[in-house]
Amino acid sequence: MDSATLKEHNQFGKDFLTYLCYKSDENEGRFTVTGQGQLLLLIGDKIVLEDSGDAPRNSVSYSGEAFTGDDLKQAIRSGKKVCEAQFKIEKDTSTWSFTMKAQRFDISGLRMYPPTYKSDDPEGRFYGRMLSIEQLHSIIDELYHQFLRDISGKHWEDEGYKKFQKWLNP
Amino acid sequence: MGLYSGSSSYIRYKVNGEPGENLRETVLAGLKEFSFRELDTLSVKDKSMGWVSAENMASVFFDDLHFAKDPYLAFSLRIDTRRIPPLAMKAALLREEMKYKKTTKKERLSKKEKDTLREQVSDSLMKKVLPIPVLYDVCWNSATGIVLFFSTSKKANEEFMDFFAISFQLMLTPLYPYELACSLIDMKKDKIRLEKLTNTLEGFEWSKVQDAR
Repeated sequence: MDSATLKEHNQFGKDFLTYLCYKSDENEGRFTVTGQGQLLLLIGDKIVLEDSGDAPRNSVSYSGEAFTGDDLKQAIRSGKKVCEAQFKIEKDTSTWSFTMKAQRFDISGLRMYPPTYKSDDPEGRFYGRMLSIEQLHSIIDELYHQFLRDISGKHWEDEGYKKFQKWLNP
Repeated sequence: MGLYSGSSSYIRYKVNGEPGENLRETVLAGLKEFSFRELDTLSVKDKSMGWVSAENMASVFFDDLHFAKDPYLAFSLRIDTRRIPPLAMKAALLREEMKYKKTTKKERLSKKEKDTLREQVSDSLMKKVLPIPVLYDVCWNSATGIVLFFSTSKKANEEFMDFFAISFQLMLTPLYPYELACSLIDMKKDKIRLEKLTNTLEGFEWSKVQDAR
């Protein structure tokens, strides 16, 4: 596949969000991220999965607290991938809550909860928010890199893939 | 919005190429030249787009360099649009057509006459319609070359990319999944080959998992 076709038709975004949901469910949200240490990444109150490929897609959406890991697995077993998910990341005293979409990696509804950023000083608030956003990017980028490395390595073929199957079909 | 308060929604971009040594001066020149200009009440223009201060949408004064918050450059894109309500247009056009028929004693109007009337009515109404402003924050980290545009609207992002290129003579690459993967692989000097990760257009081979059920 040439790079132009790959750029146009790749499924990296959906694969990554599906991988994140799998890892989060498997490890009860615990992740170790290079340069960031340990953090908690939990699936929030909304998740949308849709069929892969270019054909007309069926999608399934779960919202609220009612959906479980079994719903997620059932949708993945039927050939769907995560195209949108709400996540909550907790790292030390910082928390980020946001929705991420697979197609363009756009972040929406991002809320950050470090208490120091409630400052009334606009300049302080600006720097506080930007530093927090950039820390979130570092975490997402490391997780994405980890995903690319993970599924491209031999370790995935030998072990990771089997673990994934076991999670999916307990 | 979202740069200073509330929840934030945005798309990440990377500035292509190396920024020049005098980036702040280049940006200042671009902000001034392409700053926002109010739609003239006598004008029939339906849209105006330009840069404003991120702290005050009515201000286009950048000379004090308040937009430079080292290493960030923060400003906003303001787009004002005037739109005539379709029913108001229809009503005014029908009224003008009746008036025209009475004056010219014609029963039917030609296409050309209808088009001329439509243009006249549109121009006249456009001057009466108040523009609706929309504001999008922009934050550019001059050290990393990453730009955040605080909207996820496809149309707004397309307009932003074009306007950014015109203003600063710099192109932006949106960091979508493929572009972000390339950027990370390049940054980390990895040997991951993206084309090896997807054998088909279906993406990563979750299908194998289905076969294994």
